[in-house]
Amino acid sequence: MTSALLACDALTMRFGGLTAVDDFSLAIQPGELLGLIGPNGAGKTTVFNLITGVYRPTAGSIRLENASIIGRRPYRITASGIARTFQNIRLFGDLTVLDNVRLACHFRVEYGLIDSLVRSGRFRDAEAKIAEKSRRLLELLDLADCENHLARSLPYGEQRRLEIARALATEPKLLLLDEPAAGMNPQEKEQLAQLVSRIRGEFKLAILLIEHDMPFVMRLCEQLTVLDYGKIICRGTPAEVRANPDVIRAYLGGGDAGD
Amino acid sequence: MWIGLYLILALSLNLINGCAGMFSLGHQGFWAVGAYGAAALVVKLPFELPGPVMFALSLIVGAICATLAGLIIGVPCLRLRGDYLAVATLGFAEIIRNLLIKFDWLGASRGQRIPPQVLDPQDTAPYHWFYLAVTWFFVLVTVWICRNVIHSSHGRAILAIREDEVAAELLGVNVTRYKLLVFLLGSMLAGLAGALHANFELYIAPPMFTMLPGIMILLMVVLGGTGSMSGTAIAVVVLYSLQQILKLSLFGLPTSAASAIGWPPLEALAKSFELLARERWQAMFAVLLVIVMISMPQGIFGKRELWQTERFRRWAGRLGFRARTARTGA
Repeated sequence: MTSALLACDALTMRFGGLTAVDDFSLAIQPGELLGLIGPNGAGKTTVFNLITGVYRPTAGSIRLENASIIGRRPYRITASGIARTFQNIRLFGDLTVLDNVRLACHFRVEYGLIDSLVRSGRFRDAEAKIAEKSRRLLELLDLADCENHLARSLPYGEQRRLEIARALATEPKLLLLDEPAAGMNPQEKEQLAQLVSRIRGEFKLAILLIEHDMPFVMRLCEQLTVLDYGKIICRGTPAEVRANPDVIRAYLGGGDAGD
Repeated sequence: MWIGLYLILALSLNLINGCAGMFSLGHQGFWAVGAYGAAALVVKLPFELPGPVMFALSLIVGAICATLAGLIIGVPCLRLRGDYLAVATLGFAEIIRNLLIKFDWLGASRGQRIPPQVLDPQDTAPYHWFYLAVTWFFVLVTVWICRNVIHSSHGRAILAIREDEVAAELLGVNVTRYKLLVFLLGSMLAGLAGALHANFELYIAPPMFTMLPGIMILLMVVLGGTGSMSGTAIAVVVLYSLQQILKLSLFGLPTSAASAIGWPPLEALAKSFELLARERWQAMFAVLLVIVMISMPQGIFGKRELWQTERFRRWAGRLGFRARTARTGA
């Protein structure tokens, strides 16, 4: 447990009378690729929002490299090494593709407002470095050709990729991907799967993935956690999860569990 | 002179409304604070200072007073969004104005006279040229500040807040800090405009800072395209000129045209139209605003700058210029 990059323990989130996440525990080791699956409304995205500081959990602890991050503001959590993408794409639509990525380098910028007013040497060096790094990321994600386009004007699949590029620009140790394959065709999904493995190898980061597409998840992840009604109902390798009767019931319905 | 002042006011409001996406209706409040701050210094300072020093000092004091006001308003209000922020800032501006009406120390509703510090206003030409030059110098300073801030990492953070606050925060932007920063910067510049205004007009009174001029500034920003500096600048020039023309009854052109035709009903119509233009020019503005908002909901240039629009590029290309692509162009 002590070596874990991220450790969530007994995490609970209640919205009024609704318990969205109930006693959720998870440990992610450096470099690991974990999947988080479950039917709609199971609380997966809420878990992401808890980890990134959008919500403050009702109970439980979240530790990043053994330091509690509960109550830390989202931008500080990002600065300490957790980046995410969004289920419903949240790019800065009226900014260019390049600016979207450059923005994510923002908190590492060392020049102050005065530097940018007088365009000091420090300003120019830092800006050049940011631009270079951003272009490298765009190249990696096959977006180099459209760096001057508005993010809004990109086709859907490229917007998804841009979100990943933007998240990577914050130099995370842990990347949270919220349904990266949603709305993609099989071919795009295949490319995405390759991309995710490549990113993982190249940046040596841990990835936590929410996804509905089972073949995609089964293929990529070593370990899966299944949520239903905010509770963990199963944990294990893809093969184990596939055989688990609780998981089948949660997904296909049966008893009183209907979705 | 007044075009310059409106430029400073509109460009600084553009920073708040257009770039950071915080809908503020209280800009005239900061303008008033700047003007009264400068006036207080000039009138109430117990010892004498040479005129130019006093003038420079009053500009600084006006800007600082407005920045402090921005801080007092900003800290509680910037948690609000959209309409709520607009109402809160408007409320602030009205509070300021009402306080000034009751504030006997600075003339209350009678207004406050300010002794001239630089040059003699009787000597009209040099006096006007001096203030024209100073004002336009500060217009350039404003443009320089806006441009250099926006084209930097700080500026990108500000624009990102406008686009999507939550996403910006999750990408490492300290949203609260940047909102406050923009707000302070904007109110500082408005205060500067106020101080210039007080020094030039030599008389300030609370009715100068009602909602109407505030709306006028806002109109300039919105018409020009929120976030577009060149659009705002053009809208300032157009709207200010239009306002003056309307106030001057369109130079009497409708009546002279009508009497040239010589048909009495037409002459009467032209006369009442002129009267309407002179006395109720605001109504014309409202019509204009409605037309622009229907035909160009994003303002004249939207969020782009003049030189980024397609038409300008085509036009420049025809004149033989190679239009620059985006600043970051390959």
